[in-house]
Amino acid sequence: MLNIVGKRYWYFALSLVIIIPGTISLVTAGLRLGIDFTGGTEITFRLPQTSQSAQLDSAIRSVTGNVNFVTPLITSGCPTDCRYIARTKTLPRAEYLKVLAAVRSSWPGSQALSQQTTSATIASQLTQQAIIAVAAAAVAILLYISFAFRNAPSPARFGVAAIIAMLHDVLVVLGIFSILGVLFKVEIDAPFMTAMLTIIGFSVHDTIVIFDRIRENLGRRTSEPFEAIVNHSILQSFVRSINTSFTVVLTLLAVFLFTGEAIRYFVLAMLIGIISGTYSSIFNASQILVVWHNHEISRFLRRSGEVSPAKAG
Amino acid sequence: MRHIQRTVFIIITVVLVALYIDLPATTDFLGHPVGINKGLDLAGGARLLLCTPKNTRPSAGDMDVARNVIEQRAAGGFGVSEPQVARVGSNCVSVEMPGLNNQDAVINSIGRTGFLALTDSGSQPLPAGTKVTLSCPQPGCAPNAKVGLTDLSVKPHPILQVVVPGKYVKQGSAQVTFDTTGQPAVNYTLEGTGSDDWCTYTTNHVKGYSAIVLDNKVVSDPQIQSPICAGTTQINQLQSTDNARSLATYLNYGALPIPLHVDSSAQVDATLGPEYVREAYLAGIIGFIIVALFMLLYYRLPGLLADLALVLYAVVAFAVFKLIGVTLTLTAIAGFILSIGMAVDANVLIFERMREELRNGKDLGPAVEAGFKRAWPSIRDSNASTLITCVILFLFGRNFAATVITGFATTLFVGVGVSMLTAIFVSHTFLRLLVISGYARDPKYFGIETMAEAELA
Repeated sequence: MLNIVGKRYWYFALSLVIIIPGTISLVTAGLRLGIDFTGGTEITFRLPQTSQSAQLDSAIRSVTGNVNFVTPLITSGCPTDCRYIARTKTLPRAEYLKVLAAVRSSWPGSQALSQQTTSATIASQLTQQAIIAVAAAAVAILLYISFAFRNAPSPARFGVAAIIAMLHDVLVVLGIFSILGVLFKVEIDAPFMTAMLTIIGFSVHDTIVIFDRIRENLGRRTSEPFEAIVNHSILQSFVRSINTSFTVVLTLLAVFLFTGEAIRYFVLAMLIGIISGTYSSIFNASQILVVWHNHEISRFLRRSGEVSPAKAG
Repeated sequence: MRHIQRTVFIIITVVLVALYIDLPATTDFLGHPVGINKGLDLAGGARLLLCTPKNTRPSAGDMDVARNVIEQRAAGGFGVSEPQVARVGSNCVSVEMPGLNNQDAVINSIGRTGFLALTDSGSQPLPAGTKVTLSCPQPGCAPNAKVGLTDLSVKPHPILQVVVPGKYVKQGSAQVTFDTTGQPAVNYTLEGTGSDDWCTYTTNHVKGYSAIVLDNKVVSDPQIQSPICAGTTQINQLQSTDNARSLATYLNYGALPIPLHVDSSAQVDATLGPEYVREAYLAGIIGFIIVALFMLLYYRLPGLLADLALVLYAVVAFAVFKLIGVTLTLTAIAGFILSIGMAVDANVLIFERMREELRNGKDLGPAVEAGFKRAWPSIRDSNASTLITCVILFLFGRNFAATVITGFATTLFVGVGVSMLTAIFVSHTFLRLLVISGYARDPKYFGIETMAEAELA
């Protein structure tokens, strides 16, 4: 029989291989925050001819005195329908209208396809509440699992293990988006937050299915060691875990490939999160239960504690 | 047997009702309006967050009035089918207007403070809609007002002197009623010094006219029939109750109690929507087909049943969306498509359990029942975590009146909820029917190739 639990430290190591670079990037470069979190104005222009971003930049700058960036969007319609995204500080309504007028006078027939202005106040409230929402989700899930597993031995362990696996997935997604931010200037926005919370839900969803097996087997196979029961439970639910994630990934891939830029990174975040969630529930969450059950951490600490005096002696 | 007949009957009924609701022509179900609102990204339109200036602490009552005024303006004047207006935080009002054309003009006027005044309009009535200039006895009684007396001869806009500024109309006091001749009328009350000024003025101008002016436009120009000193004024002989109602609205809500400015905004041109809808539609269909194929190939006969259950799931979920009037945005559609993938999960859990039981040598009938019974706790507990996060997401989104977030949370919540129900009732019943029918006893229909494999495993 395949021994997954026996190789648990290899699987933890694989997780770290993904998480460590991401975390380093998170700590040093952080996340590239979109205007939902920083405040600012973003305008998508449609110009009737190919132009240089710099020209658009200077047309806007003549009104606002400052432009964060202007990027061309890749569209098929370009000679007649060229799209550019421009970002500035938060523009008051009157100033935004002046920008529009300036661009229209330089490019007759141009148009603002969309516009978003977020004030700094709202942006900071959103940031604050996003953190509260994630924390609330974690606490609510911890409570629910402790309740659902109340008849299993030490229900809180199941809850804590599920939360650790969930934090794993959150770190994987945040880390990868931090790296994407450094490499490709990918930003996070309010829909990204939505994706994060969905990932949290899915991660725990997946973990619970395996925990449920462990709970059931604990009751039926009382003579077997804990490690064996966990391994057996993982194998029993393996096909289900893979199949479910596979179907979810297929549907998300369809959305990712067939919809445009508007929700691309929202879907990408969910794709990464769901793959990570499947991995962490099979290879991390249940293994944490084993580590805890065997007191492996305190044994590890005690062992290293015993080694040092020996060295001194 | 009778039990299963009843379940089949219920399933058929529910699906037929759902199909009826799904029809594009259905806009009403048992007197309850049904339909789907397109969000900003799909319909185009504008979303505004109107706030009081920084460091002001408006009272909750003022904010409620401001919210109502904005709602009246959005619903009444701009041809927006479903404006969504909500208070956000302690000092902001959000208004979402999908499908709005002529956005810049609307945005400029929707948040205007508005100025309502009872004026002196001389001895002749002015028709409603006449543009006028206001003047004040002393400077400062109205924005951009001249100082001086009423002068109707000035062209193009006659000058009307302000008698009582609108802020003295008691909020909410204006009500539609009927006068002694049975014609529609409006009663309203003035407060504070406004009431005294009105008493003095009406006493001196019996048979004169006093136009009600909102933003330099005459709304109504009633004649003063007698001195009004009791505080309550009646405007009578209005032609219709509609007239009376809009006059009462102007008196109550014509002016914002506090100045608001556009704090944050989002505008989407209507041309982008159809592009998005087409793409999302394609993605949904393709996602659905891939999942259905996968289930069929992997699980064979039960996979086919699951696909059938999936179709019913989509039919019912969409009906629920219409019933609760969900706001569809791109993210909400993604939530729905995601829930198709997750809807399969419950079936996968049941089938995997069932196959295990079959491999252990159980007959089909007991295997179906055992598989279902064993899978249920994990279906319940795992979906609970997704439902919990959906609720939190919804509350989080609602704090910002962000339909991007609430729409997604709603579709995912409904999707997961309905998928659980279809797994319990539909898939389970189909499997039972299969057992009863007596066909499909061969394990290969269940993706277990031979009896030998079944025994080995």
